[in-house]
Amino acid sequence: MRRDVKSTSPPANARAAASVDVVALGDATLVSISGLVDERFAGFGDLGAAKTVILNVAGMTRLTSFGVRQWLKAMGALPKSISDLYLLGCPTFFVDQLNMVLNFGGTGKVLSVMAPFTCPSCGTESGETVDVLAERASLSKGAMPDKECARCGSKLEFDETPESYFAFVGKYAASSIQPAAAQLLASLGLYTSVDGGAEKPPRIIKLVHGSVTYFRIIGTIGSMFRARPFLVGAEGEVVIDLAEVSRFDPAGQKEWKRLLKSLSSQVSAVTLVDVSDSFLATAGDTLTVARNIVVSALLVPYGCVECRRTSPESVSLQRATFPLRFAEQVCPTCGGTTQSRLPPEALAPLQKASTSAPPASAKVIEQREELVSRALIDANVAQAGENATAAVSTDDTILGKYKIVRRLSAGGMAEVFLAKQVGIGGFEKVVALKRIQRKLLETRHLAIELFLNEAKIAGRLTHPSIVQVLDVGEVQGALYLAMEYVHGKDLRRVIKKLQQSRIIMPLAEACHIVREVALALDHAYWSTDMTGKRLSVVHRDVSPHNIILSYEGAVKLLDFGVAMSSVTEHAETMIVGKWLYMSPETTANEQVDHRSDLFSLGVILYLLCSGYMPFTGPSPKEIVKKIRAGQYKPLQEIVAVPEELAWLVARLLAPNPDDRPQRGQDVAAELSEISRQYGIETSASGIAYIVKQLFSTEGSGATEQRASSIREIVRAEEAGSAAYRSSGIPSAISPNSVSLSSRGGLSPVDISESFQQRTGRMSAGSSISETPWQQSEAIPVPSQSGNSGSATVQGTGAVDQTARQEMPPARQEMPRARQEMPRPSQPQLRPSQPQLRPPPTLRPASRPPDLPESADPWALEPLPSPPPQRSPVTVPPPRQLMAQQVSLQGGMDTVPKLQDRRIILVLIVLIVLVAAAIGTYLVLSA
Amino acid sequence: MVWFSTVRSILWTSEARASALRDLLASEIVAVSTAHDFLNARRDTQTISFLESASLASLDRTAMELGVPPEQLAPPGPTIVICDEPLQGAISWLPAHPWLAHVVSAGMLEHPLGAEHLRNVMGSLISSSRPRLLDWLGDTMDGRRVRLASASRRVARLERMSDYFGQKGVSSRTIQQLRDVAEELLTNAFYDAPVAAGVVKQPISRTQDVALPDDSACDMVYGSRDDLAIVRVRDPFGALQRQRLVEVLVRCARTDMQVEVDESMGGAGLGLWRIFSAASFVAISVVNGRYTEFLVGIGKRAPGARPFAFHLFFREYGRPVRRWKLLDADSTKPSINNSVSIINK
Repeated sequence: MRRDVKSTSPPANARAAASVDVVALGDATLVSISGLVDERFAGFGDLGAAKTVILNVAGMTRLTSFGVRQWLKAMGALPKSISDLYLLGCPTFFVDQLNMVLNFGGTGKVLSVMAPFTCPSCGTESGETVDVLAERASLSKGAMPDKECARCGSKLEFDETPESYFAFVGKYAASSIQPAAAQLLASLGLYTSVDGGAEKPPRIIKLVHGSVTYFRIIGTIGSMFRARPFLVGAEGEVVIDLAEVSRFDPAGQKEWKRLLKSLSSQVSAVTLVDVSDSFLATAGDTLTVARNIVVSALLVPYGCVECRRTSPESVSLQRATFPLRFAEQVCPTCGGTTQSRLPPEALAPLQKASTSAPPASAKVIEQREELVSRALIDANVAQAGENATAAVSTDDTILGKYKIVRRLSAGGMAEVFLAKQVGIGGFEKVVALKRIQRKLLETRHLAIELFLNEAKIAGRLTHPSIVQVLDVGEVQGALYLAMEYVHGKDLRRVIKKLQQSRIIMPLAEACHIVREVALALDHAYWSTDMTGKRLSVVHRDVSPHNIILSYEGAVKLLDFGVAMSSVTEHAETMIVGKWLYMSPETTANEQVDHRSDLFSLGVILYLLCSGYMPFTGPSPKEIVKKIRAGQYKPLQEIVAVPEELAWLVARLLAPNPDDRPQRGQDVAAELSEISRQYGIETSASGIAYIVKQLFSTEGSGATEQRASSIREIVRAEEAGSAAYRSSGIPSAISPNSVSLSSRGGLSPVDISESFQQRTGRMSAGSSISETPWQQSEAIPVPSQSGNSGSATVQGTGAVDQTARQEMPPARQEMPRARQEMPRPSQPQLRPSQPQLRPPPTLRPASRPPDLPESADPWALEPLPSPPPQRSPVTVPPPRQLMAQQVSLQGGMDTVPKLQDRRIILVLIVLIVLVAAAIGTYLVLSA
Repeated sequence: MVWFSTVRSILWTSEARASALRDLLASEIVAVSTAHDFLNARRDTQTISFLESASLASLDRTAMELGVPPEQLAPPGPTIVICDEPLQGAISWLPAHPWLAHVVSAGMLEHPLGAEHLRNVMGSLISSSRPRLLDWLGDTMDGRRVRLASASRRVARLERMSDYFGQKGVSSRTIQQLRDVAEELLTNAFYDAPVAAGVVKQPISRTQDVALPDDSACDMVYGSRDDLAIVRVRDPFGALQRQRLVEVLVRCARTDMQVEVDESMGGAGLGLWRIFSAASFVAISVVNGRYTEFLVGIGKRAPGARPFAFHLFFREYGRPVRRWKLLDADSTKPSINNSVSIINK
């Protein structure tokens, strides 16, 4: 196996010329093009005698019209030896060129593209990957694959006209993929083909019911489809259910025809159920290969005229007459009217086919869902062990209607499993199943009460940023809670990973996360139940442990185990939560309300912005003292953030609840305004990017960004990793930081000294420093419910060294500069309504000197003699903007200085020469 | 709609379209059904004619019957043609109809932008002065106006423009299109227009910087409102010619909407086609030797297929054209008006 890496230019940003990276593995070569493709684009480099080439264009940021010309040149210069050329991850502008410019794709075949989608519910826009290879049949008909909003779960709407956007499919869509290419892409995690080289044979369920043998085919009927499993031992009547055939590929047509021919001669009747339009289009002619082939039901795509969702409906053809008419139905989603989307011409192959199934087959078809469901459950139970009942209670394989897949985490109080809810008809839904520890059931009534409390409260909350509780139940004494499964990482782990990589969360993403949680908290407290009564839910344990960031970028608040609301009762003597995030009123065991959660949110915002905890101390007593006194280092003294953000944090951390923002939505609004004002807005995609980058080896979806990291690793290795080695960071984590920072999103922070000191100190296991600002933030938590649960603390506990080392944002020692700073006084609070700066003036009043028009409403901005900069900021600008400003200013300053120096040097030389000449003259004349 | 009361419209369209236009225009309408009636209808300076695909074909047939080349049978007064076909269909009309300058798709008439767009176009058509495309932006458009005197600064400006649209909630897809449009227009203004104007004899390499005098800098406006985002660029050369524009568009529009790019394609070729393909409407105003102005609008979140319209305002200017002077790269002379500097980077 050969693995070459070549890089022809440095990593690109939006302005730099495109870079080209080449990775070869076996017979396949991956060429990754990233950055701006313009007149400077010099082609793909020397690809030798490559045979299979994949052009990964996902990293391209833009393409100018001259870039189009250069691209065409480069495509024309590709080696003639290439027999298979693929295009991967085509961005929207690339797709535009495929549609617009003749031969833009050359001989290339498109594997995947990005398509613009918008969520009609929450307005989020996203670029979704569309697998052209897998979806080409439906794309060519103008049908779009369903995509769900990562934020609210609604069905996304395509932002273009499918017919025009996917016009390229007819010419450029890949119909298969070379095994070598599939292997290379899969090994890099860039693309996993569902067919072609990586195609899997369809799954076949076989049930024998009386004289009828029932088959259900699940998957693709393609090149891997085989007739043999159907033919072995077939007798009587045969029913083949095609409802779950995802695609009927022309590559499977021959084998399918063979199957029908052989089977129809072997059995008395072959009945096909739920035949789709794609089947009719591809294999409609096979329906007439024998007379005993029957089509008993058709899978008709019904589209809702109101919500525009399309869902297939099985329509029986028994006693049907041609031309077929499909009655309107009711939309299962919105209750609107649905109409058939099946074009009449698609039904032509059915006209010659029989539609009357034999009675025995008809009966099986009628009961097929129930039969299959029962068989599957029987199979699952049998798999769990001979004694199915015992298996339920002992080996945890099945809990009621949930089939446990694996354990996600375990805490002192509960365990959390990844489970599947299994229903009839092959229904499956992935859930997170929280089950209380059996040992607590008899001994800890409080634990049970908290468990049920969570169910009671969270069950009433429906918000995109709150993990939904779906079900609560009990099976043979085991209490469980079924929750929405969020595939992601909790914020605690994210912060920990960031710290390991010496990176702090970008300001945009930090604001976004806190804004989402603020909205969730606002909903929890201010929303009402069906009777109009306010829920008044106070979470009481808002901390990074209980915030999950999904791989799709969703931000979710979970664990309402210790929450209180109008529907629950709590003993007010109990202090709950985590010390580091507790509000002053909580620590004093006073009456708390939603503003207590906002305080905790302020702590998180502080932590995300700075990488440090605001309140630290050697013991809970010290921490509580500082929390109550509002004694912490103001944010703006630690890190450069917009002034408004620092104000917001200061108000959130105010000891008096009346001085804090009064609602979560106020916090969210202020954060939105700050983000807008400083141009640091982001969306779920930004969060998704970070999570995927940080946990790229654990994420399900292999991304192009991950490939970028891989490239960085390879580059670093080739370059000797000098930078990484010199920084003292383990090479295993350094590529991540490089990759992240190269995006311009995550800013590495220069905390190497303290980082190294901290690392050394932690490894030496030494004690906590004595200086007031060098405190560990790790706080003892006597009982913790693992990943899923909250910490429930009663009274004050002792310092737990283990807990300290495990805590993610551990800051054993602050940077030296901070140690020398005087102890700050209590932060001066701003007015509760912040005086946000007015937005930049859009229309300066000056007029262009040469414009002939009078009374021009479009007054001109002053001619930009200095290079354009972002709006002047009197406060330290956001970190993301700082680098740009510095580089621009630096570039400007150095040029005149150099010129001045040269002039001075020339003058000095001249003076010296003149003086020398005069001196010589005088000497000679003397 | 009060404004429309002063305008008189002559419609040679189908009954359904005439009805739709009647609702849209709310002004005096004269519906005709034959070429004879259309050509002989009473017109004054406030009259605008409307044709559609079918009536345009009828007009051509009439010309042939009369023994007149179709290109010579021009409707008297300004005429707007409504197009049912895709964009390349409308473009294919341009060579045979030199008088044809205003095309609006049927989809645009049904679009929320339609009424306002029509009002703007008609306002410019009946105006005796040069069309002021900035007036099309209306009072609700929020935006920025800047001047660029140096090609090297356009990238930074485009970055700021993208940021601005992002802050205004414009979708990233539309921002990308707006940026592409603006970049094409600015590149054209700095690199192609000087060549077309004869200031520079050889094509200017994109690796060179081009500087214009401050008082003749490229004038750029970009803005956004609820349903529309616009980019407008004006260069001081006024070198674009209708014939050249039509030639490029026709070449791009053939081969089933796919442009064939070859080495001979220079100037506003592919870039112009990219603009036309992305825009909801394009208005081009050229005063020969004075300026070339492009106004490109892209509708935000428009349901259904994207509408399109294009408008060409070409006018000769009476006074002598501006004389340009080229300063070479090594010139140390101070910059003076009417000089273009090309600087090797």
